Amino acid sequence: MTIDFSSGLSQGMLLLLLLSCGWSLYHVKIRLYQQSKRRFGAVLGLNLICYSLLAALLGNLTIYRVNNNQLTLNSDTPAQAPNSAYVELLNQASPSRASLKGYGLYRAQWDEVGPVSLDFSAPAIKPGAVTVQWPQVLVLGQQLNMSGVWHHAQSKGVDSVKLIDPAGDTAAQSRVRHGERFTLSDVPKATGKVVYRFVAMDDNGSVLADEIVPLQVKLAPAARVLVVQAAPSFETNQMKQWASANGASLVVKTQISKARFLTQKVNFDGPVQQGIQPQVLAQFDLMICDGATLSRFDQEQLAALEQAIEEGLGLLVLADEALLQSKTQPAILSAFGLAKISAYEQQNTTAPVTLPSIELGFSALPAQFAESAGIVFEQAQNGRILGVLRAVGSGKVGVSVLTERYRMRQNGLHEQYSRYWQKTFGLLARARQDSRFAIQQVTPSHQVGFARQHCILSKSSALALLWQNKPINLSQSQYNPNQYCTLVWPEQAGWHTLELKDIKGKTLDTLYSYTFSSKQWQSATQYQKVADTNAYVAGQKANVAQTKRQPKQLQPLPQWLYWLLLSVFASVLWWERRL
Amino acid sequence: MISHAQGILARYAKLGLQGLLIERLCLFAAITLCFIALSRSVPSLIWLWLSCAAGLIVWQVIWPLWYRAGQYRPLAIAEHFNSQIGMLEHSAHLLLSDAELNVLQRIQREKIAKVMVTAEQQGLLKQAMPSIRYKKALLWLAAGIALLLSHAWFEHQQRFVVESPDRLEQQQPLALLSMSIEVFPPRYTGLSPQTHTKADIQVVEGAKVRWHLRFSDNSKRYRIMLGDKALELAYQGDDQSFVAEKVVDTTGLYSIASDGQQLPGIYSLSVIKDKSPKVRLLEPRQSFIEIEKSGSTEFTVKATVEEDYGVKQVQILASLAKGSGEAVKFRDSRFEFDKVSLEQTKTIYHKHWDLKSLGMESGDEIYFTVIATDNKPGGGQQGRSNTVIVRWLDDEPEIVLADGVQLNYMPEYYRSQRQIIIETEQLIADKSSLEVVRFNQLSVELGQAQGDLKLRYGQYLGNESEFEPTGANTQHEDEHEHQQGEEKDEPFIASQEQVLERFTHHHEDVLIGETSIHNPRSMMKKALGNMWQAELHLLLSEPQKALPFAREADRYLKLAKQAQRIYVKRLGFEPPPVSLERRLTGELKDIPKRKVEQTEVRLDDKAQVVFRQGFRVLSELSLQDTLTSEQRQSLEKAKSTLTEMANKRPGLIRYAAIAQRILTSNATALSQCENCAAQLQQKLWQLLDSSRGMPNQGWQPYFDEDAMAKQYLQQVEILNGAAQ
Repeated sequence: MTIDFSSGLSQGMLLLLLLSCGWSLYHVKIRLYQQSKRRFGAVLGLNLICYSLLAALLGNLTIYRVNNNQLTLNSDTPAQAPNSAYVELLNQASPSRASLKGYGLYRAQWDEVGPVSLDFSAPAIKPGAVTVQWPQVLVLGQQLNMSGVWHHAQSKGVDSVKLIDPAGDTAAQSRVRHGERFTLSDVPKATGKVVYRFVAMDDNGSVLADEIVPLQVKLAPAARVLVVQAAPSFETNQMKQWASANGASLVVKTQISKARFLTQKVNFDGPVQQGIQPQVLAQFDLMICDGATLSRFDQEQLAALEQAIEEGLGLLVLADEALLQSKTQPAILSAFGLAKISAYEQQNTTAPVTLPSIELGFSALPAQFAESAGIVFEQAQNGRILGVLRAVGSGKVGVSVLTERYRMRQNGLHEQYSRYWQKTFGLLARARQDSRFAIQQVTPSHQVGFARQHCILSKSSALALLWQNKPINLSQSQYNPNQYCTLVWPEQAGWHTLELKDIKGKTLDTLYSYTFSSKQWQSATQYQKVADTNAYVAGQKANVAQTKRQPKQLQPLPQWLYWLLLSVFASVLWWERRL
Repeated sequence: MISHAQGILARYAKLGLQGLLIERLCLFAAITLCFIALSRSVPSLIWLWLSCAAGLIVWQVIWPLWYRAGQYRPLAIAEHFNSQIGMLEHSAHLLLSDAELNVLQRIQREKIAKVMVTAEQQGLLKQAMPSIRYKKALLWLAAGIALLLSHAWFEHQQRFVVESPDRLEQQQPLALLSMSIEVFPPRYTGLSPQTHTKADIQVVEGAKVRWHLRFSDNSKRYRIMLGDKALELAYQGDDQSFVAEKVVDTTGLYSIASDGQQLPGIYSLSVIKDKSPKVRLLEPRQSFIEIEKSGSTEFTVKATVEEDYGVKQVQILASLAKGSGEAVKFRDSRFEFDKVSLEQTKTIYHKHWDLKSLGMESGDEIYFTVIATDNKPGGGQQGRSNTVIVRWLDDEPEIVLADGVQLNYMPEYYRSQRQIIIETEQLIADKSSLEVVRFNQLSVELGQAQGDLKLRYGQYLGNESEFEPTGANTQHEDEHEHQQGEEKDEPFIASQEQVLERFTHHHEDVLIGETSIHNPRSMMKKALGNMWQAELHLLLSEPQKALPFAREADRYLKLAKQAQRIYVKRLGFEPPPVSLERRLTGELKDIPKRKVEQTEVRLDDKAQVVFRQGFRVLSELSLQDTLTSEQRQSLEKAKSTLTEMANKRPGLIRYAAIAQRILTSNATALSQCENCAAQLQQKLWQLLDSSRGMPNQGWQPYFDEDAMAKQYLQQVEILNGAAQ
């Protein structure tokens, strides 16, 4: 027991208490000393205790006890209520040891809690998908890929996981064992707020999990594409047919002699000037260029192209022999380290390559990229890298060594062909929308009561963000001046609307964000909490090993205890006078 | 005397107490009346009125009664008279004293008793009594009564106003009390009449529907609004109901209106169309039979017919072809079946053929199809089987043989793929000038022709079911038309290669994989796949949708034919021919700059666009939201399209009704139908085709994918690790 006298009992008050105490004790002596020594002693002691308590209460003195008791906390709380263990740990000044029941806390919560030596043993996790995620927003035509790991520790059998579309039909299905990763895919048919369902069943048909998979599907504006090629190509011709039939504007410039081009405009209004100049390139979102053309660009053209890319243009280079054989590759491609594969290695790499989920063999140039050339956007099923992109300023440059993509179309794989190009366009083409929401992956930890960050990409700071029709503040990112972020704490499960507006009130972008209740995706959240808590426990054990001697932990006695004792002792004294 | 005087005092005490009681009761009544009046006038403030009334009652009634009651005890009255009447010499209280009085007091009491009687007789006591404020109390009471009366009068006036006919109409909406719907199916169906009590009904095409409706107000005129048309309801005094009847041919929605006022409720009227008979040939199974010159010329035809209500006639329509090429002659004949048998639930029609008895000779051909006519009035509807071609071979070899395998033969009967495309285009162009029935009939005929062609080509590739798309109609019906001198598609080379491969052994051929675009077999498979789709849409009377598939099939057929030449013919840019004079001169000045401008935007199917918009609107609306004008437009279009489609798919009318209900209530929250909006949304999703990839602008979040950002974060993590 330690008493902290640092807190304030004034000297006058102390003197008054001492005088009062002395006077009381004097009277006790006169009254009882002669009668009974024992009674006198008892009353004297009670008086002293009472005055001490009074002094403690009046002076707000803190009496500490050594804190070597163990807290027992339950981290599982009813829905929509703050986690009691989390609150308790936050309120504890510095608990020495705690025993944690339930599934534990998230990493973000542990980051806020101080160091605690935890006894933690997680209960069994409910069967279901864990570490699941899917895109928050898709563009119409883009494929939804929902991935996760199937968790059913109690079973050794094979379970069935399904993705159910909004009409209630099975869109994708897979059979998995405990611990196996799965991916379920479908292409949403409409825009708006779309809710799929994830359903898992065992062999007997019993439903093990039934959760919702909400996402937003948007329409994106069609791209404006410039194709510059050294010779007519079946590849670009097929791409042109697909893109133009689906609303894209294209200009195809085909070199027919040294200084002459055949210019084809499809769905394109307005004049197109000759040459590669910044003002010409600014009209387009994506430029597709073969290697031969690019290697023939002079320095002026390359500088113009580089400037346009810096300003947001996307460039897709369809690599060819001419590019590989050119003595000096353009500076814009130097970072890719594109090099021809040696004749010896070619023997192993000339086999047709296959792309994921496309049952068709393709050929590819015998070329390879340097390590860490950029982000891989095309990869064969055997792991060979076929396409790499790099960000250059606001734009991107991508290089692909894949050839004969048109064969997908010719073999009737129209859907795969369109999705291939849609993905490529989406990755490389300029985003004309100056202000928009950054897209995140959805995870079940987006729950009620937890902070959620939303970011905006914008070149302008004159923006207003509305959360459920109420304005909220944005703060500029320290690392990216074009990024503004905000934190929101959803209080209700369900859809929430974020609207991005300019200062005139015009809506620039709308995001529908879904917040899960604590009853949804329980297996995933349980798994996440257990993993985060185990990581925390491991970290704490390492810290304890480093600092063997812990300082003495103290904990203040509560105020109500003082009041209780004072009442009891004062009552005894009053009763004694009545005797 | 003394007792008399005491009685006087007691009487006055009693009178005073009564007066006080009356005075305070009046006040109590006044307060109560005011409270009643105020609480009825402004009920929202009842707690204020209640607390005020309670306070006033305590202050003005209970407390005065408690406090002032003591002033009217006999002793207090005597004291009061002492102070007010001097002749009592302050001794009136002696009259009430029970204690032992001394002599003087007794003398004084007797004296005062006499004075008291005298004062009473003189009216002095009455004058000296404490005043009771009757007037004030009565005034309060009158005020209370007046307030209550004024409130009652105001309420009466209000009631009078509410009960006036005009107001009544606005306040009390008309109500549909009961509904009974009698349905009388057409006689030929053999179905018995039915009575429904639910407003959403399904009836057979041509059925007479009679509505019996009872309303809360019989003095009005009522109409049933069937789409844009109004059906007047006639009042029947017998059962106080309104009756209307109509023969129903089309699926639609209806509602009830009265003198411009729309009654709540949108109901569906689904019409089940009488389907054409479906004829299937059980024997022969092949669509092309060859009989050798010396072979048996007899065979049997077995057919089964599926029909909703009844078959009127089943016949065989046969065409006998004699000669070949330009000299070919046709003769049409109709034949009856020999016998009809019932096997399980199916009726089987049998016919035994003998080619000789038909007057045929070797080298002749006969094409026949089975035609069934149902009992629908107006001539009935017809269904046809596949057309079977029977060829009696002649001595002379008319076919080209290579390695013992038949090549290059296409019977005269078949329409070419090109011809199907031309006729489909013509049908689309003529749509506005054709009646719907005729349009549908022509479309179905083309579908049957497409089906025949598909089967014909399918024979070369083996089992046709290999190419059958999911859900495709497996019934194929043929139309027999003579297309003499018409361009025919040549049999494809794929068959030649495929069949040769089965019986020969090649060492020097270039191996062409299954996935090669040059493989004729692969192209034929694609052509057949497209033919399936074209046939499906034509049979569904959707030639617009069928046309792209038919063209695609034609393209693949041509590619298959050109497959062997494709190795030498390069696709792509072909330079213009250069004259010998200019060759190798290197002069390019005369070559003009070429610019080509095109517009090639494939528009989505209108219904698809409408459904996509409808889904988006429903997904974005919450239950509390009301519809904007743009959202209303989208849902209106979705409803109209669903209604239109419901003529072929009656089940869709339910969803059109939901859309109309949403439009009527201007919100997705519908009373008595919580999940309706969700059901409509689900149906729209089902009706949507799978979406294709689009050439969109960039949409990927660059900060997530940005290599620089990733590298930066990695460096930060490394530095953090090093610092720790």
